Amino acid sequence: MSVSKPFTPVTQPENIHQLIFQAVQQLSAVYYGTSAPEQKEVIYKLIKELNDRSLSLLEQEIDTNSQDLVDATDLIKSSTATAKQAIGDIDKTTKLIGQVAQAIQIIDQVLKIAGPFVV
Amino acid sequence: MKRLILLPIALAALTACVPLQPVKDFASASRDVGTTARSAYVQFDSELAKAKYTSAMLRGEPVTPETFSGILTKDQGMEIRADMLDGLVNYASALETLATKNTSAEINSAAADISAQLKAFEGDYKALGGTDWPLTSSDNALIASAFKVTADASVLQLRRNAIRNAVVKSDPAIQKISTLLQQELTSMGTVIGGYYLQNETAFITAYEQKKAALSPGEILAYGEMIKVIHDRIQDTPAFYGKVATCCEKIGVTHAKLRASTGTREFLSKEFVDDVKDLVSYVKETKNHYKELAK
Repeated sequence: MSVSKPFTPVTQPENIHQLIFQAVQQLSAVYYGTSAPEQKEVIYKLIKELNDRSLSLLEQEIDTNSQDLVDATDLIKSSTATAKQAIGDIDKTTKLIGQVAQAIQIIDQVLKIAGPFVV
Repeated sequence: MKRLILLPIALAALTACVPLQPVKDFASASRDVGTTARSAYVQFDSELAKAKYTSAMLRGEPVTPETFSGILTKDQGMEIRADMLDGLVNYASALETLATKNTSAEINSAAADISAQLKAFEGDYKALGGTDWPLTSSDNALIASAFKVTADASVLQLRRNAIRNAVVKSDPAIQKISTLLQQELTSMGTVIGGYYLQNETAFITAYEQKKAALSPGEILAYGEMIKVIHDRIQDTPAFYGKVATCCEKIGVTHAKLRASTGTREFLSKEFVDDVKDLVSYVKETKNHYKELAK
């Protein structure tokens, strides 16, 4: 029923959860291979114990990571504010560019009024 | 006159041709990853709680309120991660806006106004001075084009500066988030995989003990439940692994964007290639999530 994977030699346990998962897979295969209820019960308890240990370790990791994530989040929010301000600046610049055309129109108006005196 | 106008047009056009589409694609993919990772965290706690309480209840073990809870919702773990992933999504959206900010409509309209005003000038000049206007219609058009291209280029330069500033400032945070998310999501996938294995043994044992008393419909219902759990033993760690890899790729690609925006070419080939890879991987991960959520 379950997928059985052989243990692989590990010199440096990079991810303890992966090792525990492999151990649980092995135990699960043994669980289905035995018919004695007492043995099944012992194996089930081992599986549960390993899973609970793995979960407890994960909880500790999450606790440790949390403060780092709060600091990183503050920096990301500040960068986003900078980017949003830049978007506003671009909008202002675009409006300014549009005003160049209006400036030419004003010159034309001035020319009409002052033209007879300067042309 | 025409030569003088054509030179800045050519120079400005060269600058304006640099596409920001890869930045847009990167930001869009990062936004998707932030949203999917947020769902993965929420899903983890609910899957964990369900696996824990169904195993306990099927085996007739004592249950407590703790049996029905995950680990992230207990303290502030989920809140911190939700806030952080919302922050990532907002950052990616701002980056996407900078990359796609389309000001050409306003600039086109201003250029059209300039062309019209120059034409009006011509009439007024003649009426007032009685002499010929020194510019032809094609000169007027050239001036309007020069204005448009120069304006487009200067806005593009503003956008590039803004992207560079945001990316340089946020990179240390993106690197930290990317590493921590990659580690946590990989671990979460294997932890939940272990609980599904445990859950499967509890379901199969319960079925073996009760099958003699079950109706055909109840037998099939058991079969369907066990099949779902059996598939999740492999699918769930694979899904979390994919989201973890997406987070890792965001960190790597963002670091390349940071390095790239400091150079004259602005977007390097390495960055563009990484974005293509990221976009394709994120699409695959989203499809995996849709399958898992069925």
